[in-house]
Amino acid sequence: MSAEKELKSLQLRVISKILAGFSHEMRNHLAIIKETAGLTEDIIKSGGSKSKNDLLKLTGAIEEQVGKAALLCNYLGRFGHLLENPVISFNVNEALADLIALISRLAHQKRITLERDFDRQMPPIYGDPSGLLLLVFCLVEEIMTGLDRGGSIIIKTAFLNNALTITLVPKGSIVQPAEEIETCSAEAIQDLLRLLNSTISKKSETKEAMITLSQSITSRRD
Amino acid sequence: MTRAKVLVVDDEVEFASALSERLQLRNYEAKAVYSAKDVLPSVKKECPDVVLLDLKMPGMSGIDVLKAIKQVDATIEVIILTGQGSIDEGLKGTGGSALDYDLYFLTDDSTKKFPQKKEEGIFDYVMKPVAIEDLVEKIDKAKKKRST
Repeated sequence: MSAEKELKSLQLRVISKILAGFSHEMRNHLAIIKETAGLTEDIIKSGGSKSKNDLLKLTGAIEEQVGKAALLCNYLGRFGHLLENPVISFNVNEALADLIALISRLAHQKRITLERDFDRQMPPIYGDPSGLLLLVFCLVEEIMTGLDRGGSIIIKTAFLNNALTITLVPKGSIVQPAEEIETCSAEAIQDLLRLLNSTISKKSETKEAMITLSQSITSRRD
Repeated sequence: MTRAKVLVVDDEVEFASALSERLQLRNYEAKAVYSAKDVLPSVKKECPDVVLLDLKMPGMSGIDVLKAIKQVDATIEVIILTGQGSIDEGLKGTGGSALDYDLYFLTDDSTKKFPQKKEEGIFDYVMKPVAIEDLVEKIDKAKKKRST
């Protein structure tokens, strides 16, 4: 398979994983809404001893859950819009925040927390958000497979000397995964980087993954 | 036949507690637990007829919990709760597979059903969001099977 085709296939796989995670999380929100609404109906029908306040708590819980589901839809919507155009001006922090929200369930399943440490002075950049997010996803996934339960991954952004740096810092015990989990191959990551026309250095001694994008991205800081 | 004793196991606290309360309103003796570590003590203490088990809870293998339940009492019937699009997907990363558990699709009026492998004790499955009447029917069938 050519590098380009492999990359397309990788992009599809990542998007599929994100969509599957979204669908799973949405089902959970819907399940809570349905059970809480069902419970409210059951209580009203049974003419039980629940007070008006108890019923209001239940309707409040439904509203809260609808809010959480809507927020998740917002993340996916923004993520989708970012991927519509191959090269656009975008805010890296916001794009990463959406990605983190969408993959946090994957991390939660492994009891791993995704934390942010974003450079607040990050200017809008002009580049390929799809490739960047794909790359970050692959690296986060790779780190997660080797990180023990209870660990965390800090996703840092920095903008210095006209270069954007994203650093992924794992915290916690590093373990060998019990089973082979399919993550992005090193070749795919390199292809992705070539596509982004960027450079990457993985500090293996500190287990940190660092992406430095300085050539293909034009800062629009005024 | 007396109503079944049901243990709901799901890390989504609001879901599990609301479902448990709905079952109580239908005269089932239902209780909810929200983490893997609470399952076995609760199974030993409550001796449920049926366990509704979410296969994907953080930091645990649902299949391991299932096996542990069966070791305590092989006659306890387990109904799998899944938020995934299919049971096969739900079993991914849990240490089990659809093949291991002899679960497969049978298309019946576009309703997907998964016959259980008897010795493993997976009685049935329900997809989230749950249709309560469908679930109640499955619990009653599981209880009936356990009583015979």
